[in-house]
Amino acid sequence: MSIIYVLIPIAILLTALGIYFFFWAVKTEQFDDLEKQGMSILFDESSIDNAKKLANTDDKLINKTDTP
Amino acid sequence: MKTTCYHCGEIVPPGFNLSLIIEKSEQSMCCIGCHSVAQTIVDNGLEEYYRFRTAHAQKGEQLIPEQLQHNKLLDDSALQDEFTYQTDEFKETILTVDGISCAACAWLIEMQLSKVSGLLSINVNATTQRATLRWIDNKIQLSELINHIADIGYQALPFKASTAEELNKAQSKNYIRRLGISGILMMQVMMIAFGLYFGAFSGMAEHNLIYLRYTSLFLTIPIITYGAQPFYKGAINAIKAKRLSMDVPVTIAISLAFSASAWATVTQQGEVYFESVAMFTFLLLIGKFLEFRARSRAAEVSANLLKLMPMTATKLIYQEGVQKQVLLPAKKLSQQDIVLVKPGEVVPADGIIITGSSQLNEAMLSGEQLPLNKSVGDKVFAGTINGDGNINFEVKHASEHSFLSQLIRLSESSQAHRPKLAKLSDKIAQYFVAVILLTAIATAFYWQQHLPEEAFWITLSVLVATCPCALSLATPTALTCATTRLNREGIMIKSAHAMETLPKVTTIAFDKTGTLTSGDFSIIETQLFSDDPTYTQQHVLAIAASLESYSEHPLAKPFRQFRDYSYNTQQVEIKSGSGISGKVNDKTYRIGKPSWLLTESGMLEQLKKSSCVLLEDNKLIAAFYLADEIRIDALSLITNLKQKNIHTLMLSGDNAAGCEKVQTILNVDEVHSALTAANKMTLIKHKQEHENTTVMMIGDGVNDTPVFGASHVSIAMGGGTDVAKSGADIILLNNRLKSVTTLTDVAAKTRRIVWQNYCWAFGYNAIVLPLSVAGYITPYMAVIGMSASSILVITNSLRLLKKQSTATR
Repeated sequence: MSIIYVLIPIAILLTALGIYFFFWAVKTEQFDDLEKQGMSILFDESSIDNAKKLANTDDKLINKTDTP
Repeated sequence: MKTTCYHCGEIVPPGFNLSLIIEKSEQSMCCIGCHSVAQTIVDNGLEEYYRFRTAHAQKGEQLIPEQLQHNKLLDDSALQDEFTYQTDEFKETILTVDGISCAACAWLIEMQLSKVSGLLSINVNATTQRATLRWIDNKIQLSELINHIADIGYQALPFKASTAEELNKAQSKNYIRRLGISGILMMQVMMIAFGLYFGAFSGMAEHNLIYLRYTSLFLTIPIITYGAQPFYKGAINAIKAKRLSMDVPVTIAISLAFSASAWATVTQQGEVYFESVAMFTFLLLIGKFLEFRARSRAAEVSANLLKLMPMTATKLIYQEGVQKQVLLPAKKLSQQDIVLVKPGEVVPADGIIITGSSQLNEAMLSGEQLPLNKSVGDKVFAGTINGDGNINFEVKHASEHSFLSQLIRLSESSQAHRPKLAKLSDKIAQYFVAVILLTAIATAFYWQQHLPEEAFWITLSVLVATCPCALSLATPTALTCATTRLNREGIMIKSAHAMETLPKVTTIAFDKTGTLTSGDFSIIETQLFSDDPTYTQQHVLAIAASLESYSEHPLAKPFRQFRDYSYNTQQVEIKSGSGISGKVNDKTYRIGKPSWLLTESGMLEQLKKSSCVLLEDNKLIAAFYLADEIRIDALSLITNLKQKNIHTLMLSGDNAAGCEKVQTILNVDEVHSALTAANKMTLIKHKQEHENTTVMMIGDGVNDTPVFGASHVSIAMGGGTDVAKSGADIILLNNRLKSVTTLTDVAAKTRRIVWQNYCWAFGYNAIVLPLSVAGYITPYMAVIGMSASSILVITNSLRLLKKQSTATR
């Protein structure tokens, strides 16, 4: 039974780690809007990139018309 | 089958052909507004929104240039100070966004805005329907950001956040942290407790036992010092106010059980109750958190209603003999300013008309549905809506003295003197605490005489075993479940006391216009007079709709649904207060008041009661009868209430004839007509004081808000004014009167469930108390009994979430 003198401290360490990450998640507002966070996984990362690319080309077009 | 709009889900009107390629297939649209919104979404490569959304979007509305100009007023830095936070580099504000129907909307807005240059960050919260924006002020204006959001069909506006809100947000985070700590550590303590239980039965080496006890002690410390803080605070506040709340016995049990267990660990004698303490704290924290969340959510919703969009005014000034129009916030108007009000606009201040005439819709202030004809010399009031004519008026009072602000102030002062009924849980707590403390003292005294060395431990087990865990979960869990259930059906509970007061209501007062009636006119009959067989009812209605689409008159609105876009309308002229003329499909038509269009006195007499007639050249084609229809569910509600022996009242600002019409159908117990807001208030107060009734008020207009404050519970219709909604305890977001039945049913059921919970919790305590007094309760029994009864109470409350089959009749 003396193994518990090793195992319980390890368990406590892991618990402390878990609590640390939990506090971090609360701090970074991951519990603020549970609906949106649940949805975010469905949207492709690529479409975000696309949108940004589109925006960049828009900017470029505007720049071109500005400096003929 | 009729096609529906891909964007908003409404039926596409016949003859309207607009479609869009979305994700490689053609989708039809119901209006230009939806089309342009969908176009913007597609153009920005955000079609994915349509794939993942779980609800249709709001109908797209095209921004009129005037609206854009109004938004510009928000860029005024004096105004912005009220709602923005400024640093050297950026400005930050929170806007409430109307039209967010699902989480995909939040994604859509973030994506659309994230590419706007000058915007540093945007975070949209789908639950609270708010967006937090951070932007660089000299690169982009707030109005432009609002317009970008409007492009994809959402209306974002600043609002007046309550001061409690910032505090609520921090508190909510604190609660989550406390829950996390208590939950995670409780599991560890429980695990060790199992080891101890086995040790108790099969024997365990002394050093192992001590080790396990010390670990439990160590793990429980964060729970009782950090996790349980809200209970200590609640108890201290209650004692300071010289009363007892449920927090008091909770605090006593937690602190005593913990310190006794710690003492037992250190001195190596007696029992430990660490797992009880941990579990107890965790379960109660859940109850407290749920209660808190329901409360803060309601606060957020009501804050969203208090929009800060300034009421705008078009002021006329003369500079060197030339007339100029200046757009400014209504607040900045002063006496004797001349203000122009265009058709359909809201009157920005109280005043007297100096030129022009129009019809003004004062329904919001008086409850009178039909617009009043007003011309030179007549008074106009802030907040009323202009009809078809242009008017210029001279401002009589600055905005803080307007009739509208006086009404709002009246309702605020009546809110402050609300009648209140005492909370059940607090009443119970007082007796409970007294009983438990007396028993504990008596037990200690008795065992002190008979078995002094065990006296302390037995007394402690009395306190732990009778800890009011299930008792303090009884109300919050039931109320939270009921609120969630009602929320799903479109009923928003804003005040915590509403659910408890509802079953006690003996009298319900209804406003007439907009509450018992729909508040909008609808066509109840169409009479055809033409010999020409091409004039079918559908055709006639479509012609009328084409002409009426140019009018802002409330009587023009019901025609809108019959609009056929293949009809070609030209040369439309509006004659304010009379009617409209114009060419539809190259024939000349006139539609309007019978007295304006009909010259033959016989014909006029016959059609006197019709609301408007349609003529081709001078030939009568059709007559339309319009009425402010009584809601379909009004009659069933009133009969239902009568069966339940609830006294019904109708309080209306409308004249006696208007009320009589509704009364003949609904047969309400008491009718009072032609009342001002103050009249309504005194009437309700009289009922409360002299007839000793508990009154609920249901209304929708600004003139109902003072009455809301005077009544015990108040309900606002979702279609009502924002002022009414922010003053009410309950909002029927679904705008259905029938919900009142659901509401009373659920409230009655909630009361039943709460009583069942209390009975169980008391019953359990009644069994355990004698056993623990006699010294038969060991720690693990206390834990099992306590958690079993708590789970039973929670499960019982969860029954409220289930929609009964009888509710779906």
